[in-house]
Amino acid sequence: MIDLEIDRRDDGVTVVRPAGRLTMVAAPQLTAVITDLVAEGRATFVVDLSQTVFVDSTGLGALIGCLKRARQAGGDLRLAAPTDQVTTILELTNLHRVLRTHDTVDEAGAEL
Amino acid sequence: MPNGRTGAPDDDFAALTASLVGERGVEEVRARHAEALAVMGAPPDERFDRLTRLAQRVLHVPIAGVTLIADDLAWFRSFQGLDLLQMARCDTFCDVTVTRNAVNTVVDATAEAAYRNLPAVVGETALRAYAGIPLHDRSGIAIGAFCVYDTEPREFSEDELGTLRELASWAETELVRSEDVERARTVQQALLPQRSLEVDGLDVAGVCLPVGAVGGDFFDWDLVRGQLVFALVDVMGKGTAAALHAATFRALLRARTVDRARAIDSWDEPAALPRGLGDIVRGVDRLMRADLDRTGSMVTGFLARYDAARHRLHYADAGHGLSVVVRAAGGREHLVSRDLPVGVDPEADWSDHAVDLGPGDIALTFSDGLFELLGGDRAAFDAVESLVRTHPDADSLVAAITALAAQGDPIDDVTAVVVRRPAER
Repeated sequence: MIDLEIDRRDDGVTVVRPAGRLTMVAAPQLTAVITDLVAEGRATFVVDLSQTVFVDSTGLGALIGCLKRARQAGGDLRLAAPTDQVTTILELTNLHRVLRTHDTVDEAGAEL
Repeated sequence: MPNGRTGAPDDDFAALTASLVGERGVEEVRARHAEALAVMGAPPDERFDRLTRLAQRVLHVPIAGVTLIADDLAWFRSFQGLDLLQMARCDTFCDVTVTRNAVNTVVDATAEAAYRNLPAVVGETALRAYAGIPLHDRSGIAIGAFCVYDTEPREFSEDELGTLRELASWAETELVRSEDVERARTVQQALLPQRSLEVDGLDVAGVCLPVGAVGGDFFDWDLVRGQLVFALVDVMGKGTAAALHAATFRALLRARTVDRARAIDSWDEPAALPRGLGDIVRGVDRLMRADLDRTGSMVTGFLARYDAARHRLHYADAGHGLSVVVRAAGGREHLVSRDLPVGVDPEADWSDHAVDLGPGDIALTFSDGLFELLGGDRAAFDAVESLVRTHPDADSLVAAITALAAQGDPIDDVTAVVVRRPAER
């Protein structure tokens, strides 16, 4: 099980921080957490990837799924502080065009 | 024959199926199952080994195993205490168990005509006691037995037979599951091009090695209106779920490609350019998006066609990003686009690109399973280039990738397609 930290900030932005490997094992967990948060009424998210050491295609799929959920709820989702491996995967798949990344959580939050 | 038969015939459905199929039919069914299970010479299976070890320990017997019956042979899929792979069917206790399709116990084989002359009884192994539970396939036909043996005469208590039944039903579940999975693997592998291709000035080879029995990767190629069209596709995730989408994607890709080709007389027509391949991807995206959306999936892929007259490789890339041309004269080019994977954005579009191939140049497209094996970062492209340079023909490069996957214990499906323009003589 992946370690998932959630920070419901007062400015309405929810920061989710998955630690470790975001793969087939952990991806459904991230999706479930975001789904629950949306049901709670939260819609703007920053996924803090600073502690995420590895993302595979299932992890990317989960991030896209979370972005769709956030948008459907009238909000948005940004990524913060991806590691080099994650940045490379985002660029190779061109998904950085839809999954906007920022250097820090605060920068990402400011865009929302 | 008081010891011959202690259990009731397994269930009415099994008996009914067997009677409908008829005895000859049953034999054919058994033979086909054995093939489907690929048991012929297959290595012992840990899933069955656990069960047979458990039987050995709990029932205090020196020998326990899973026997599968096919044609005239008995195959020992997992045996503890006996080092044998196969035997003539008529020489086994399990033959009787399978034929009767009932729990079968023998207290002392030397006292029973049906068993006293079996080689395992008169020979060095000197088996005396036996208990076997028939194992059935999905349709209820007995295809083997879960069995235990002792070298001393002994009886098996109801309690022990109960344990044996439990273990047998567990083995049966595994058997049915592996049969299902093996069939799926056979079908998925059959959907791939079966051999390398030599077309019009190009050597073409490919490989797809799912990390499980089936996977979400595939490659495909065909000659369409005189040109080679090929694709490498990677459905997000692994295993059966990804394989279902992969089969759909392949069918739609083929259909859209044929539609596209039918709409034009030749690829040279302006209608085919500049958006020939991108349009095909868009067509597949539009048809598959609802399915992918509902299951939270997406697909990356590389689609290309080769214009042999102009030595030009046209391509569209859907968020795949793992394709290169390695130049015979030195250097490499990364074949990229700005286009997204399929199933991500309803507004998405895919563009056409082209690259010229010189004599001896090699184009290689591969899946992230290989990318991860080679380090999973930008340096992996250097590793890919040196792999290409040390294996300069399509077949040997594919063989090298296959070997790498075999050694490397990949965490994702490894797939690659290689096309090479031969050096001019």
